[in-house]
Formats: sequence, structure tokens, C-alpha cells
Amino acid sequence: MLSPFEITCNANDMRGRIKHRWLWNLLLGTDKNVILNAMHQKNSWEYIDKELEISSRLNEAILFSDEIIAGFSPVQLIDKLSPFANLSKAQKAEIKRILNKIYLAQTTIVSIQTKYCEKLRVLQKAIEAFKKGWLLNDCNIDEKYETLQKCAKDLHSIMEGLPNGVVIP
Amino acid sequence: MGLKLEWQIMTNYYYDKDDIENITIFFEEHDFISIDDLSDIALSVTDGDIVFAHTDAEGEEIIIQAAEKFTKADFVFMSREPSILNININSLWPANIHICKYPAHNLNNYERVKLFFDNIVQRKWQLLIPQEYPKDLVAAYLLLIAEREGLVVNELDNTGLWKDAGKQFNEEAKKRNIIIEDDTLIPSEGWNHPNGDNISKCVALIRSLFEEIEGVRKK
Repeated sequence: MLSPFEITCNANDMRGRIKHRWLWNLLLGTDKNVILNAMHQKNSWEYIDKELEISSRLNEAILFSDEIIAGFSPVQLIDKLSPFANLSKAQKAEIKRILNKIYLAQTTIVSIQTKYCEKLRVLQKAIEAFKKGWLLNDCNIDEKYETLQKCAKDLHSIMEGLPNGVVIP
Repeated sequence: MGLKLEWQIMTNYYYDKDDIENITIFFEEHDFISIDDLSDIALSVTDGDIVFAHTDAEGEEIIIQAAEKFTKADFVFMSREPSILNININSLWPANIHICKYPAHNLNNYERVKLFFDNIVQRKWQLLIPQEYPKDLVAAYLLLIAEREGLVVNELDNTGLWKDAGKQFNEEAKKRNIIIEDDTLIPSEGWNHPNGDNISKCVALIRSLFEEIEGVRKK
């Protein structure tokens, strides 16, 4: 998807937070031995949840699934670019309609959103299993964390396909 | 001492005492490595590296010491008025210490972080950091796409949009040494509103420029 100037949008900021900060740096960047040690030191779930930003970022990742398509859409530029300020509402609406149609037809954004939702659901289940294991003081917590990391990596891979700013069709 | 050009061999570090989210994300996205504990800085940094630091007064002293030791590394304080200003005069600072224009506490949105970077490492980051984009060109392109689908919009013909968009196209092409084969489409004085067959030709031409820009950014 073409985003030649990486035009800023909220969706791109969310993408950065989820993909880089949470998935890559926190979940994939935390070794299973760190998790094991944290459990051996009898840290609470609240502690690990806060350290890995699990609940907060998971909520954001869920919100992001509804933001992906509109969030990167060039339609938002019609209300932001000053030359369009001179156009009537009806004209702007018509340009938006056409751009949206082209954006959806020419890009893989819908497909990425579908895959993102699938991988996020799998990650969510892995997080639930990890949390359950943590609360039960499961001695195999490292395996559950490895599963969680695999799911995080899959989601990260899907997010590689997202643009770095507003898409220009 | 200026920021060096041997960027590709540097390791880039950042330290933020408050772990401010937007700053952290920005650095992480650009492959900076976090320094969790400033006391480890001497173990991490070597000559040629660059370190962005948002510290307290104690941290500033550590940074100053590191800057004196690693004279070929650059250290950037992310604060307008480091405490050290009160106890040292500027001329006594190591020359490889810099202060960014925008205080970290006010970097409360992504835009400000980018501005800050533009000011500090403009030369090396010009392909990585989103610059102010050619808005008229983008607007004209979006309009042409809609017109290619049958929409007619003549209301912007006398607003200067087309001339400005044409000029921006030429500027962007010139920056990248792109030769426009059909210069009747994009005359140097800018466009008039393209019409008829020229709409599709202009869309293709602008798109090829955008693809070139995207390709440059990805390299």
C-alpha cells in the first residue's frame, strides 16, 4: 500500500504502539526465563500484567481492529487538506465515496484487517491461558509464555503489511 | 562537533527517566536501543554512537562524564533547560553535547517528536522522518482520481491549486533527479486543470513519483 509521505494519522500511532512497543519490545523482547524468575519470586498477576502492559495494550489492540480500515483511509484527507475547504459538502461527500471505493478495491487493507482479527483472537486465548497458568502457579508457565510469544509473532507479522501513514490509492 | 555522517555504523541509544510513551515508541520504531539504567552508559556507548537522554540533574552529570570520555559520540539532552545549565557555563560543556529545541515534557504528541528530530538530526533523518508533505500535490492527485471516475470539479480552477500542485510535483521530482519524459503534462510553471485523456496520464505520472518516493523511503 502506497503511503509515500507517511502522512500522520491516529491509526499509525496505534500501529506503532501495538506492533513495536507491545508485541516486539515487550512480549517478544521478554525472555521466558524472565517470566520464570518473576513467577519464582511470587510476583502477582497485576505485576506481570503491568510490566508487559498486557491488559491495556490488548484493549488497544482490540480497538485498533475497528480502526484499521478507516484509520489509514485517504478519505480523511478530504477534511484536512485546505484546497478542499472551498468545496461544497455534497462535492466532498462524492469525492470521499469515490476514494473509499478505490481504496478498498486497490489495497489489501480489508484482507489485513481480517487476518489481524483472527491472529488477535488467537493471541487473546494464549494470554488467557498464560494468565490462568500464572494464577495457578503452573510450573510450565514458560511453555505457556512461549505459546503466547508465537501468537504475538504471528500478529506482528500481519501488522508488517500495514502502511506507515495515510494510504494514497 | 557536529552530528556525524557515519550514521550507518552508529548504535543509537535513548534514555528517558519518565518513560514517556510517545518518545519511547518513536525511538523504538527507529531502532534505538533503550538504556534502562544510566549508570550502565559507559558499558554501552562507544565512540560514534548517539545518545538521546531525558534525565534528572544526577543523570546529566553522568551524561557529561560519558561525553567527556567518548569524545566521538554525541549526546543530546531532551530538555530545554537542563539543570546543568545552572552550574556550568555553556563553553565548558564537551562539544559533543547537544540540547534539543523541544523539552521532553512538552513532547506530548507524535508531531512534536518528529519536529524535535528534524531539528537535531535533520540531515540523516530526512528520508526516515515524515517531512511536511506537498499538500497541494496530494490534494490534486486525489481530485484527479475522483475525476478519472467521472466526477467533474471545476470550483478549484481559479484557486491556484493546479499551479501549486504542478510546482510541487516538479520540486519533488527534482529532489530525486527524476526526469519527466512528457514535460507538456507538467510544465515548469505549474499545471492548469488537466482534462480529458490528460487526467489518466497525470494520475499515472504522479503515482509513479509517489512510488519512487515510497521506494526511496523503504531503502
